[in-house]
Amino acid sequence: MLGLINKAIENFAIDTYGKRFWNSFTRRHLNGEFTFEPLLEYEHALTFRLIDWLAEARSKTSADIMEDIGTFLVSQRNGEALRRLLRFGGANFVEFIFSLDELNERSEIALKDLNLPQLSVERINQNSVSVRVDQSWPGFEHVMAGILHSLADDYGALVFINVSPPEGGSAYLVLELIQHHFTEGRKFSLA
Amino acid sequence: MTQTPYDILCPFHISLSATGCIRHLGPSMAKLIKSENPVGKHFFDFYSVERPYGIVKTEQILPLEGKKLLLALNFAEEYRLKAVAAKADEGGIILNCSLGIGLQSAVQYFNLTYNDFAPSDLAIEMLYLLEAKAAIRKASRDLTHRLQGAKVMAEEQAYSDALTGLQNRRALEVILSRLISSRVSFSLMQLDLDRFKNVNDTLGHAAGDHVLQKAAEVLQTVVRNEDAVIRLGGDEFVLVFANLKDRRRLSILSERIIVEMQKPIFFDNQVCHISASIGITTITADRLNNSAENFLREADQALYQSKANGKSCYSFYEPVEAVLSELKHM
Repeated sequence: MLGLINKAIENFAIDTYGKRFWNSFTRRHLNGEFTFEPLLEYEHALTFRLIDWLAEARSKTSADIMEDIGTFLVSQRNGEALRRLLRFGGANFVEFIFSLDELNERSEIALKDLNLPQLSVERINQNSVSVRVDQSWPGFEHVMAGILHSLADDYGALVFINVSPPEGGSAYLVLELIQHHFTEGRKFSLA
Repeated sequence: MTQTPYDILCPFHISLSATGCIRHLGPSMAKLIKSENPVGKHFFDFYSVERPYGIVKTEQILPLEGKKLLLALNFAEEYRLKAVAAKADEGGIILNCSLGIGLQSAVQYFNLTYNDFAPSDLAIEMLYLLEAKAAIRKASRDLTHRLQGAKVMAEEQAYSDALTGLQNRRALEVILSRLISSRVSFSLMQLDLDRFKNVNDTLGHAAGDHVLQKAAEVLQTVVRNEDAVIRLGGDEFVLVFANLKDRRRLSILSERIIVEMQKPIFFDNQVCHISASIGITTITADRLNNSAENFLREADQALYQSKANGKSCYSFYEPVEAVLSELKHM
């Protein structure tokens, strides 16, 4: 797993629970004070252990931690770069949702080694879509739920998101769009 | 203006009449021109053809059908348009344009949005890639900085004494070889703390460490910025004074060091009393052919002399030649 992901988890933990929490966390689980390098490769399973350890330390479920991470990734000051990159996916929220089909390829042309899970979007009816998330990163659907909630705010759309547990190697997010243009949203300029 | 299929397919197009007057502009092209009513005005009022050279008349454009053209905007000269021309109805010309490699700054300057680009245009993907590349470049530059910082720190640690922060024996070797190879005269002072063993034995190692740190502070405050203070190990120190060979000044320095070292040092409600013995050798330009070990041996010999004289004092090493010539004059 690319260190970028672990670094994001580290940034989330420090921003949310404080530097002291992170230091004692890494002393306990990673043999001393530790910081991830975004461009180095780490053991794949470590990322998921990090999340489980965080959940244990904060008495939350791993799913909640992952959703919080997703929210953090695009809503905080240091999430601005990712927020912008995602918003290139579409001029409005609906276009953006359908751009998730390409998320894996879009991330790959930017950063070859990222290997994001494959997403596929299907329309259920006029106002709902389902997003299938493969389980190459178990639980990634929760991170996506956090990201999509924040991005909906960003576009000014009002949306309900329901995560259904994995089944046959995939998890599903069901998005119900209540209003396309609920608020003004946040300004996005292309450059 | 009524919408034409070209407005949807090529929002950056220019449609010209046979005489070179603007018949119509795509909606995004109209944004670049910022003219209230461009229709009917001449193509060259707004654009210049930069490549190929020498295109100044409309008739010259059609023969270039299908070829790459480079246009400049007369009112925003720094922005270039990549264009291609084709014959249109009634002897007219249609030019399709893109913002080319200057896309990112043009998008900013002209306030272009998502809807200014045809969905089939790769411009948005290019903007996305440029931003992704900038973010990754920042990450890689940050990593380089961190590695550089770690390297500098590792080097500093390799050349410094952890307890006192002074330079160490490895640093001394570098300093001496640099002085010798650059033919700079210098003086070398070797210094041992007196009664240090006593402090260690009676008050313990923590007191000993504290005394060493205080001694290091004294040495650093007494010398000039350009002088080097080295802890060889234990209670042994070496000071290197580049370009200083004046015995009078070295004597004053030594006296000051001894006086400072004799001031009581407090540790844990206990008082430690130490002093210092000093041996000095001066290496003038004519003696620079000797080795660093030799010079250190000389300083050590002078230090031995001070200890023999009852400690808490300083002595100079007398080069054999000097002693010999003095003997001759006796």
